[in-house]
Amino acid sequence: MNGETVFVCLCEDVTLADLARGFAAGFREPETLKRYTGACTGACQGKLCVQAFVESVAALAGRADLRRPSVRPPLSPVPLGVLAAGARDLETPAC
Amino acid sequence: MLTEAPLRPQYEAVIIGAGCQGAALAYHLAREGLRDIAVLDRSYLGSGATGRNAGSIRNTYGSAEWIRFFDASTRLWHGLADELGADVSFSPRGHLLLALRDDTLELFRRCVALQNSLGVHSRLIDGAEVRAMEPAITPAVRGAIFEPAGGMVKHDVALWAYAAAAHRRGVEIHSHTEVTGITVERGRVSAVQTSRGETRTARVIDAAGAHGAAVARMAGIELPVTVHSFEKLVTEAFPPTVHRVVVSRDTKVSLSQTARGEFVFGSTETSPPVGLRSTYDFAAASARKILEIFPGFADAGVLRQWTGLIDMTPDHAPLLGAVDQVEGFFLDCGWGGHGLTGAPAGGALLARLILHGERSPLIEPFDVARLAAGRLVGDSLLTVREPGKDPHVVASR
Repeated sequence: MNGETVFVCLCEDVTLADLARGFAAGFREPETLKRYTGACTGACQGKLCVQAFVESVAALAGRADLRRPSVRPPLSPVPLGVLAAGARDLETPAC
Repeated sequence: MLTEAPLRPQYEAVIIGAGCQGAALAYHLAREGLRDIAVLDRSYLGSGATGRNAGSIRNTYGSAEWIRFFDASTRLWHGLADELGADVSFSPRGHLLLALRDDTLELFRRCVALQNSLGVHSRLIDGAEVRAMEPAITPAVRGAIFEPAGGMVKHDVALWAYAAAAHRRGVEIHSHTEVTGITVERGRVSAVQTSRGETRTARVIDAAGAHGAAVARMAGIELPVTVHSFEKLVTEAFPPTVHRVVVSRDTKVSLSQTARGEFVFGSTETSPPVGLRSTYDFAAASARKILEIFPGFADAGVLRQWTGLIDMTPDHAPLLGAVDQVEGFFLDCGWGGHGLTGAPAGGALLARLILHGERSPLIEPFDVARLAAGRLVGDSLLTVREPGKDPHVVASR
């Protein structure tokens, strides 16, 4: 299997070979390899790819106890206009 | 880039915190000739505020101390790729600090005069010129401080460049290594205890960001810092629309567009309790503030939001230098969200202080002793005062 043609993250075009290069450059856990390659940060925010991503990193690292990158809200993209319509006044804490 | 070997029994210096400050300082200590340096981080490289900010680089402040220091740092950003021999993804695209009120414009006028007198090439521009530069900004804008030398940096890339350059010079960077104790013997630092064992050292530098006060307490030092949550959000990608870094001083919201086309927004709007949770209240209140500045962005979908922690001193200025109580213990914290902008100058000047005792006038104002002595170095541009409310700190990160 040629890693250059195996896509792990379809949104950001990250291949198995990209992950291997990042791993070799010292990014050896999901959180740092995500930032180095951009995997799981595109339009789907990892919903399609995170399982394949974590399994690929686990295979490179030779370990099975790796945690997936943190899940961030919202679940699906929400337009700013929709969020703004739901805004309510907030007390900002003193800094 | 990272060291996977066990900690060695002894180092010449141990830096706590592998963010931009810790990595820059390690690089400069090694460059100045120090050997056997370890940088320790409780989590992954860049897991703290460095990896969670918007990467604004600016020198447009309102007090001489801040302008001098951050202008020196901005100049270093411009040459950093050459210095480190690596891409740092710094985009000197210019920085716009917007005024939505006439009294803010008056404050800006005074600040620009001060900035210009100190060699900063900022200028005050009116609302029409702001709109000519950035047509997406609201016609309600009254004016701005425009600084062509400011910009944004891809924070992770810059951190990795510092870390790799430090590593090439022999620095050990140990991630997932939590400091649990610091031994002080007869008024001197002598050892650091970690989740991966103990190591002896005569120099400890606290570059632990939001955990800086907890680290200092291990050495018996109380720091008057408070920790605050600052949230960010990023939208789907759009064609190039906003070309400069834009910060609205009066409504405390910032925006920059990434190379991938996403809009990254930051705001100080946040709800207690302090922590890394993302909140709906932030997203909703920020969206309203963003649309005040960029009324055409209502259809931009928010992809994700996240939170970083900021350690803030009473005057919002950093803590840089030695402490009186414990020899060999140095502070590089309290950055209040300006740590990335300040990393090149902070690292370079603190390294020279630690190794040569060189007291640069650029960092001397940020000595921790100022707080007890009442020599505060607050900055008029950072603090927004509204009648009947506690002052807020402007979003500039």
